[in-house]
Amino acid sequence: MGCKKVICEEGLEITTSRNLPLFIMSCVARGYTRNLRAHFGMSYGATGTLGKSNWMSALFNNHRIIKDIEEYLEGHHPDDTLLVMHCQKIPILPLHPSWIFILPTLPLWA
Amino acid sequence: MMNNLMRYLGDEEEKGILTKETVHVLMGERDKVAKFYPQIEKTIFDCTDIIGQLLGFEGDLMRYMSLPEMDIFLKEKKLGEAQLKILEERKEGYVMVYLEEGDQEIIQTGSIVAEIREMLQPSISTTELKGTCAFPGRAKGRVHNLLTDRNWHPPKGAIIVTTMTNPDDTPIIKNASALITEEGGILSHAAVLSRELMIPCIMSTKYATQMLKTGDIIEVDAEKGIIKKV
Repeated sequence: MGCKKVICEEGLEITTSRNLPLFIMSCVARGYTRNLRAHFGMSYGATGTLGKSNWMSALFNNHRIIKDIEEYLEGHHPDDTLLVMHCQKIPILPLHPSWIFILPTLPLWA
Repeated sequence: MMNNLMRYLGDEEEKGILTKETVHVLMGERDKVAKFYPQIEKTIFDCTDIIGQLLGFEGDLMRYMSLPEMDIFLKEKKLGEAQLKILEERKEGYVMVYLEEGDQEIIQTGSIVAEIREMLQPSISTTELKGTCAFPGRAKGRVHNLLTDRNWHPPKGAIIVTTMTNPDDTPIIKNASALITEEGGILSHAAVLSRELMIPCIMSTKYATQMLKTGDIIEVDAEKGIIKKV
């Protein structure tokens, strides 16, 4: 597919930089795309990482998801039924429904 | 995700009221995550080091595997010479892209990585940066870039520039005249600290640590969220 082509076509840009290895970013990439889509109906579509040693810069296109987030925020309450249903489908998330926002992004928050 | 939320909120009070509860819940959960995530990362590092020792290679190299590669490696329990070479090369620089459909590509060829790195860097000729205000005020002074110069303490009145603050930075920030971070929202550590210490603070600047070097003289306008090189 070509890294450069994907970065250009998907409009990926550096959004955050920190000390994280490639392996963890590989998990994060899956979380921000497939897992987010499966459990929440939205996704970044594509993600990237530019790294050296254990330092990395995450590549995202924030514009791609902002509309979905706006619609969600204006249409949902954090305690709403839809979110609770989502979390019931995810055994690893026994806590508050907002975990579906948080879990895919764990490494970027530490 | 939080950055998107902050961009959505902007300065609009109506949106702030609408999302107040969501933000509150998210931040609460985020605090819980911040407590246990470091332990997960430590466990991964410890495990890879031990596996490396057992199989006779540098454990650090396992951290340059992608998730599918790790899966295969853990099943086969061996690494070939060619794979080891690739992992060594990734240590020097790599680019990874991942598509929702599951396609993934990792490049470790030095020249291509350098080309992409160059393509993604912001223009260094820019003399002005914008961000979100966490605590209002104005300041002028010399930059101390914590990312590149963490090992020595800045003089009193320096303007601290960093990706994100953590509690260890508090003694340094106490003596600063302003604080600039690349990330963070209104409830981040930097925002809370700047309000506590009443230091002008601008967050979410994205490229501050790349554009502002230690010793640069800058003006910080945390009323408008603008940083200018003098």
